[in-house]
Amino acid sequence: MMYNTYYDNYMTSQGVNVVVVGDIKEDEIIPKLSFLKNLPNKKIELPSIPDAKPVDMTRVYMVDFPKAAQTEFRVGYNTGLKWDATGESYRTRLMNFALGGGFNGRVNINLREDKGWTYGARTAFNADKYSGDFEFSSGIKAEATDSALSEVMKELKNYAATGITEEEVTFMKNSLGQRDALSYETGFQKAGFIGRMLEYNLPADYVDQQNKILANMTKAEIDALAKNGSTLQK
Amino acid sequence: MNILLVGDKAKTIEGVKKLGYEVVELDTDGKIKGVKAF
Repeated sequence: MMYNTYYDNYMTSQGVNVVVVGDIKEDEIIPKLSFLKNLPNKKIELPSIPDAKPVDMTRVYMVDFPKAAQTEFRVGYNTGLKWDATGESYRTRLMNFALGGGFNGRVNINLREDKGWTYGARTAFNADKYSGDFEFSSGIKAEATDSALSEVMKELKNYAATGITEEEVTFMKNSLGQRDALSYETGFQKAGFIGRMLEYNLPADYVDQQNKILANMTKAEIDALAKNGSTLQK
Repeated sequence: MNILLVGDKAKTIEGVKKLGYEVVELDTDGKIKGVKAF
């Protein structure tokens, strides 16, 4: 019943894009997708979702999981920063790289490599068409929960206060520049890439535009993003 | 900042309390069990 209601309310052929990547020709796949013509062609009104309430103070929300060897951490807030390819959202994702966007990010080096409390720790500025959030995530040895939380908050405050180092800027440019070459090799990656271009109506050269921004990012620009009210200060 | 911790409360709560944050316990459905419960 619930599925029927959902189908009746939200399924439509309007706005549907289909991306197919594989060893197959267009005239082979089109007939096999003919069932999509059976989708109802009608305008869908999506329910409006209110913005998340601003965080008035830092709080710990705890869920008891007796005998758990690790404590799962999710630390963050709603940034309201929607996804973009070359604007503040993209630049903020670059800013995040040194903090926790890769294996050599500060939170992973601190909590995994230096302290040995986790198998991995990371930060991310997630975003889509509708909103965005910042999140630190990791599974931490239970006995180190309080110490690790203290270290996480220190790392976030320190990055917002003092920013990135010149060495980290260079490392970010080298890492992301080289990673880009491997980003579209598999069918899965290629489909995601094309799907993103369709969803956000991106120009064909948007990756080149991103690479130019990456190459020209400076410590001052990253420091300003880290200090910005919509990033790490909440 | 919202800090969500999922783990063994008996092992972790005393140390977390000492950090000075307000601690709110949630049930496994995410509903608040009690504000300033600790």
